[in-house]
Amino acid sequence: MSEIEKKTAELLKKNEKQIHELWKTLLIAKAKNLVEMIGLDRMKENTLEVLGQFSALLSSGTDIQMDDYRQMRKILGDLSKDLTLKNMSPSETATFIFSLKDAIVPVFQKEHKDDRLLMDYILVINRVIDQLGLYTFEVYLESRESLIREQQQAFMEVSVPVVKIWDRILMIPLVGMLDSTRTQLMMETMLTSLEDNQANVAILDISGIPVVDTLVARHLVTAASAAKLMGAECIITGIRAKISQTLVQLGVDLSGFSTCSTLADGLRMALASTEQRIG
Amino acid sequence: MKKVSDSLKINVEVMDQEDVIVVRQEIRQLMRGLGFSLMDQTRVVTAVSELARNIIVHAGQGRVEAYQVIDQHRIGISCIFTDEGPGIHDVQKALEPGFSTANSMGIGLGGAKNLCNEFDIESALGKGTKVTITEWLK
Amino acid sequence: MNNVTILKIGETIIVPIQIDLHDAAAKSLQEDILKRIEKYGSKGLIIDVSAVEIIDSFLGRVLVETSKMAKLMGADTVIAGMRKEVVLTLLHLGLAMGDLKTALNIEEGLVLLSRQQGRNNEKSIR
Repeated sequence: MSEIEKKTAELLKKNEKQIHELWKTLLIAKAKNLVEMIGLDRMKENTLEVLGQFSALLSSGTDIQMDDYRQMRKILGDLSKDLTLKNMSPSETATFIFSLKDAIVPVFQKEHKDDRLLMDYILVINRVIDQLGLYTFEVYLESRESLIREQQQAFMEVSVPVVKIWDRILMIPLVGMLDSTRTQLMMETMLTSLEDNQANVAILDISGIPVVDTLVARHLVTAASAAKLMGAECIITGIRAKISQTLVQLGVDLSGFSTCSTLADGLRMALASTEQRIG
Repeated sequence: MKKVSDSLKINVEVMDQEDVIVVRQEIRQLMRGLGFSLMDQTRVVTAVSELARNIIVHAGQGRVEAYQVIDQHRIGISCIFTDEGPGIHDVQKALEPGFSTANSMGIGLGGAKNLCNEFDIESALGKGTKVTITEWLK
Repeated sequence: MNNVTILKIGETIIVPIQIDLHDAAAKSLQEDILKRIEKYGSKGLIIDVSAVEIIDSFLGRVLVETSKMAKLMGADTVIAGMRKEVVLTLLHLGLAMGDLKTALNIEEGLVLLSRQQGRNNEKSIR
């Protein structure tokens, strides 16, 4: 434990009240959005807490990865997570802790302008606050990523609707990119519905798939084979001119399945093969 | 690094086809207990069936062990298939899709590999083969 | 010997597999089925696999083979009631199931067979 850090902690402790007031004022003046998002009361509480922790922790070290800083990291981490979810930018989020510098420096300067060690104190403060700022940024990224993951998951789940379009006939509209994860999910959903509804026909409508390449075609064949193995007929509809050209050029063999260009034709086929009529 | 849990363990000597059925049932039981979905159980037990059959066909007899594994943030199951048979001449080739030695009727190791999260094989000519598969709980 | 019941209803044979079959049992079931087709001159075969929890490459291949063999003897085969987990596993396994005819359940299988036989009769009349 160096002498400078101890001294800095003492100075901080001594001027805590004054620094706290200045910090709050600065936040309200410079980061209005931020304060609005956090709420005035929580802002007051958090600033006080952080400042208290800060002066207490400095004497035990300046590496914020230490165990002593756990509570400090938690306060800032929670704050950062909240702000991320409220769509605040990372720099706005980091402003919270960075503005503490602006509150400390003038107070130190005023009170201790004769102290030849002033520069050293400020460096200590900087070292810690910079780390804390980076930490809020990391938390921001992490919560952002987990948000994206959740959204992807949610998107996956809604992206495979299975519609019971007629008695014993299911329709699965495929929209967007058909990758292997989605194919797997789609097949499971489709097979479960086939089983539950004891449906005889599954119509896979690919009108909503922008590009068909070898991989997508292979997924399609797999899905159609799955329906077939369960004992259902699989009709692939929505094969536009462009797609039929691509399929033939790629050498994809769909001859084992019924195919047609419009969903209406597909439904007609399905009705015929289940010996049903409309009306 | 994977940690092995001693609490749940299967250790079966495989000498004939009846034993393959026993192994399948016990591993399914273990997986069900760990909370694996029916889909995962079916997929992995099918791989187990293929690999246990390989022991009978190529080495005559061997051993299947299975236990729960844990790493930092997930749990799973590992199954180990060991035999002291002739070993595999070209492991890389044996893993290629469609590769199968005459009259074994299997779809080869490649098929089994496709059925599980992790697949590891060690083989020495004249000494035997050890296959380890691992499936993680999602 | 194996413990799988083989039922005969008219010109159709129905085989509900209710137990875990090991390789030899699967082979001997195949033999029993073919003998039965020969004995009754059956025109259709339904193998109900709704109680089968695992179809690995061996059993899968036995099913495909049996279907081809039955066809040579003049009987059409339908595999009925394959579970969805089994279906997805077979696809993962990459086992070619060929032109195996399938149905959701035995009842649908019978419908499929009667249609197929109607078609066959038309052919023979011509």
